[in-house]
Amino acid sequence: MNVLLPLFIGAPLGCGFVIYLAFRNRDDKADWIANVCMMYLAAASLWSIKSLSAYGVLTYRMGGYAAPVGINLVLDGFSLLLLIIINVAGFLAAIYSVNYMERFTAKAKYYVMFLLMVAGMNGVVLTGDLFNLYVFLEIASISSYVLVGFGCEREQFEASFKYMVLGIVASAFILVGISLMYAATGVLSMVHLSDIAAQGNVSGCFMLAGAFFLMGFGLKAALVPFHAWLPDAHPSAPAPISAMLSGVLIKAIGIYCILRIFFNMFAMTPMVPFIFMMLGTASMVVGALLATGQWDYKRLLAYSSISQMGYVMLGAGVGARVIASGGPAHVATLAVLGALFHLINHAGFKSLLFLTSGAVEFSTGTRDLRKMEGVSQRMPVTAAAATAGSLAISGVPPFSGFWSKLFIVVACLQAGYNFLAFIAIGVSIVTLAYFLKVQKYAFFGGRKEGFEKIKEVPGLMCFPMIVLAVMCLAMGLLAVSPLREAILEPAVKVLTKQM
Amino acid sequence: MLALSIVLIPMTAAIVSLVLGKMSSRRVRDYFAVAAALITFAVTLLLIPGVRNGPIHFKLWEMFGISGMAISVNVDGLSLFMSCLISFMGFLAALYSLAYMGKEENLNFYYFLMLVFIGSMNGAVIAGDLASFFLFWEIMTISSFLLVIFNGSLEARKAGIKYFIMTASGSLLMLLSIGALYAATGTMSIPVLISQGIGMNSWLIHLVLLLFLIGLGIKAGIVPLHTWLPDAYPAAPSPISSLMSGVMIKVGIYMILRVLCQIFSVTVSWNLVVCFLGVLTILIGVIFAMVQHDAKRLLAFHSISQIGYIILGIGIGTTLGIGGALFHVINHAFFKGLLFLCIGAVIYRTGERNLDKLGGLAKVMPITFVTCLVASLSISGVPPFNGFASKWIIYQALIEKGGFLHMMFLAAAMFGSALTLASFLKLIHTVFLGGGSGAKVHPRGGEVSWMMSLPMVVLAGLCIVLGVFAFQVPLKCFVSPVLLAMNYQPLSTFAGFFNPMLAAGLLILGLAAGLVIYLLGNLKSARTDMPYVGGEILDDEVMSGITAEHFYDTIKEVEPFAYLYEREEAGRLDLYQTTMGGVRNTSRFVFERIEQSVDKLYAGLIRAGEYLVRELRKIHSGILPSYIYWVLVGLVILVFLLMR
Amino acid sequence: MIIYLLCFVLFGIGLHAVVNKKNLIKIVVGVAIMEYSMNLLLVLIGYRMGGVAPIIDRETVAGEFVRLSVDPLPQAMVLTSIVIGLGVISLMVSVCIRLYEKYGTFDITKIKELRG
Repeated sequence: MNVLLPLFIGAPLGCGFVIYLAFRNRDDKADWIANVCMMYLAAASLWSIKSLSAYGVLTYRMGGYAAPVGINLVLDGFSLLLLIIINVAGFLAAIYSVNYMERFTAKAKYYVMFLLMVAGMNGVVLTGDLFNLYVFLEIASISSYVLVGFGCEREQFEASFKYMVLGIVASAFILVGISLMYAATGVLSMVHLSDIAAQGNVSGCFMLAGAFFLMGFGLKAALVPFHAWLPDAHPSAPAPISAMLSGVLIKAIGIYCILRIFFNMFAMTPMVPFIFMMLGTASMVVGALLATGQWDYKRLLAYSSISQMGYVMLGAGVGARVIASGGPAHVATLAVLGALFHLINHAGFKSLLFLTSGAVEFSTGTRDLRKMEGVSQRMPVTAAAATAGSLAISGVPPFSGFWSKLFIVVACLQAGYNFLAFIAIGVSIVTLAYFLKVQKYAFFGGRKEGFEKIKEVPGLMCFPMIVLAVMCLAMGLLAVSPLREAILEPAVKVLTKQM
Repeated sequence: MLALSIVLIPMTAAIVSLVLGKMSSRRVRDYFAVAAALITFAVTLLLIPGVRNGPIHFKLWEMFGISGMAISVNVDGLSLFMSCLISFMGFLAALYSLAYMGKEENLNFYYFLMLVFIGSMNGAVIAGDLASFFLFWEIMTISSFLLVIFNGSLEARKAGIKYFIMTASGSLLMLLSIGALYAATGTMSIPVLISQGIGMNSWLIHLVLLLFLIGLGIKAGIVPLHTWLPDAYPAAPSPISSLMSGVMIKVGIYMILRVLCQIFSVTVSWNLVVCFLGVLTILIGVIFAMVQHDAKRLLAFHSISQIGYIILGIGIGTTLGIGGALFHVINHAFFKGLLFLCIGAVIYRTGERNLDKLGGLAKVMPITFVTCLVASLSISGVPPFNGFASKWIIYQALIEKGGFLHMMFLAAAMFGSALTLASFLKLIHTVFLGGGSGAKVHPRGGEVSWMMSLPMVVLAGLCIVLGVFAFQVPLKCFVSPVLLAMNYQPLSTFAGFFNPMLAAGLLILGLAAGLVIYLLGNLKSARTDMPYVGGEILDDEVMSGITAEHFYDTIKEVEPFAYLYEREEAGRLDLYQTTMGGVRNTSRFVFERIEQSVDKLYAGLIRAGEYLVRELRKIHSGILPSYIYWVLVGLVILVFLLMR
Repeated sequence: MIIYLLCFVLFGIGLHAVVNKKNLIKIVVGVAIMEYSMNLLLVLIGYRMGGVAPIIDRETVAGEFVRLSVDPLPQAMVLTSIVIGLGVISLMVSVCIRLYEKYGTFDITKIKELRG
């Protein structure tokens, strides 16, 4: 089983390489290779659920060297959760790309970058070594810079450049943080670092590194006030990439790293969770407010991503705070469970919403909500999928978003943060408000002139939307016993190890 | 499994007919629906031998693993009695629909709903626990609601919404009491509840029973909860009116029987209250029926009135009373179903249900006329028709019980019966005989087709058979087994028992004698002439008879009735309208006071929000260095917080 | 200690260029300076006074090698870091060229079509 772990990184890297070398100008071949590769990865990530529950934490030693010297790939519950998100969402985005990317000239090169990004993200979540994490992070980041600018228009370059500069500043600080950690401890292996954290000696060097990490990964996760690149970059990318960036990338190289580092490699002090909660609340509120003022469908979705990431950070912060203050275990578990549940739910519905925005753009050529009134009559599948996604993200029962938000709010109340719970509910209402705006303007309402020629998007684009729309409903089941024990609880256990 | 199939067959057939309607011709779908109803009836009959050996009871699924909340099926004598009635009437209504609904649009949905309706009624009576009873009860409510609003007119929609709000609020009360019952006993299973029995030992139990009765009483149409009936029946298509009146309100009666006679061991005062409600229902129903001009509305009020007899019988609570009530359930289903079908036939041919505009149809539609006459005589309790037999048993029960109150009830019930006869004289007169003056609607074509007349003839025949052979057929075969299953004595000969066969024989003898005299005498060449008074020929209007509008006009001026009618016309007696009016006034008051301040607050919030959003958007200026500054400021704050 | 501080000063210079300079090319130069300072920092962390290069051959004894040599791990990291830096900077420069083609300016504060 362990042998499969490097394949998560090796397969997309290898396929990308093959596409570039052999099929640079053969788009149809590139379609096949990339989609088969992503299908394999999605299947393998789902298969890993079983092997994780059968064998426990899986470790693969690269080159056969043990931990502090060699580089390890580690698959535990938390990695698995992210692995599923990355590869399943990636698979759906790849299918969607087959038709969508036809109007861009260099489809094969697009797949190369796409696979590179997937390889980078898989590497980030699998690696057991801090410097290695940095390397994979950069692979994922650089390919995302390229993909943001893939359209080669004015705005795409502008967004790409801004994203790149901010991303590089963040990466630089992350690397400085890693150097400081190494200087303080002399190891880079996460297992050893967590052993050191368990002993609880926190030096100044450690905390400075912590601040750098929070800023660096916080920027990758687009937490307020490090979020400024996201509303430019995510709408500028092609729709499947927007879905990957918003649905997956900010989680895999942002939230995942923050949670992994601070829950597992730092002795929990009350200050870190406090910062988590502040960052989370600020993101929630600012993102939601800004989203209400948008008329560009994708930009609205991008701001709402910031807002939803705020929920995740709030949940994680409450959980960490309870752990740090030695509070009741079930509250901490509930909070972290809510955060991770929302993480996976958000991957589902935000990917879906970006794909629908792509479908509307594909058919009508516009992203302006005011110009695409009444699309639902012409594009029933897209409209239905967007409705499902909107209801899920606004937390309308019984859609998935409701349950995860409920967990987070209940955890806030149980931990005594009534005010934060109140804000979370308020933001949820604002979310509903701006998604009602989307529904009203974009999909329903009177039909505009000249829309007679609009057609529903081709089947290969409908398929991922339908799958994700169904998942919006079905993922509520993750909160129920067999699925929760298989997918969410191992991840929660990894994060609440310190209790 | 057989028991379950009387629910599953119509439900499955409903979906299949929806598909058939889409895929093949209308004919195929129609016949399929009728066949499904017939099969359901046949399967129900097949259940009889099994139930004779004892009730069928089995669990389907234990909800949440709690045995008290198991979903189960329970078919005993009473359930089977009801489901036979439902399936039979369902089949006749379906058959009748073939021709009656032929011209309507959107029939896919009609047959779908009708089969669901039949299936849900069957489900409600064979449900072995209160939870699934409630489920089917609600399906029944919703499907019948959709059928009421089927023709989509404004009137139908208004009536449908009234019906839905009233019955749904009743269901809510019932749900509350089901919950309370579960909390008190820890079980939902009807057989278990029956075997345990619930003593009336606290005010809470009384409350639970009251809520139950209100919920069921709304459906059954007990005064003063009856007001949806006269609106909903006329709005629904005739076969549906006949189903609703003939069997749906009986599902309410069924549960009242279960609750009042089996689950709760009710006190004497409860019995008296129910009796009183029954008598009230009889009188109010019939008094309002007398002055209606709308044929279906008239029948609806009679439904209420006849339900009163059943409730009265249940309220008496003795073997005779329950037996009479059960017998009347069958009889009412037949004659009221028949009346709706007859009126349906009239509407089918004339498109009119206003009595003032009808008249003289006896010659054009003889079958309809004769069957309607039979039904009218039955409902009025004229021997030897079936209505008389069951009413007679209920009277007997009252006499047997004795006492001043029961005698008063007896007098009132008999008076109600007399008024019923009076009211139906009017119906027969205005529709089939001479009728009043004024513009008459001329029927298009003659008698209705066999598909419509067959159910009518069958039901008319049943009305006679059940009356003449009251003791041999219905009481022995249907009522007594049910009474036995409910742990009552079987009906045996009782004091003042009259022999219906003898009575029928005498009546036929009398008729024959009359006929002989008619034929022998010179009466054949009867002289017709202008009516005259005091030597003067009357003017046209009076000459041509009395219109429906004026038929019982004088009653409207008699004092106690005048008061009632006046109130009724103003809608004051309608519990629904009064409540809705109250709700409307309260909400208007609340809104006028609160709305303004909330509005202000709301507008202020919006303005603040808009300002905030505008400012935030302004900050996102698109200038990269300022973004980097934010990041660095954030970093400085983080370092400060963490290094402190 | 002073040498670490100087290293941070170098980092600061790079950051200053990224934040305060308006010219796209100067920003790229700033990024490059930042990367060099980070590489320097990594090397410094692994350095020990008077240590030998971490190259092991047949004659050296393992124990003595550990006592004398500088830490080899950061040096390996620096190599990786340089490669990453190369990729990033080449990408940045190419985007700068395309930006100039589209906007006709190198001034970052004038490239602000995406906002709000």
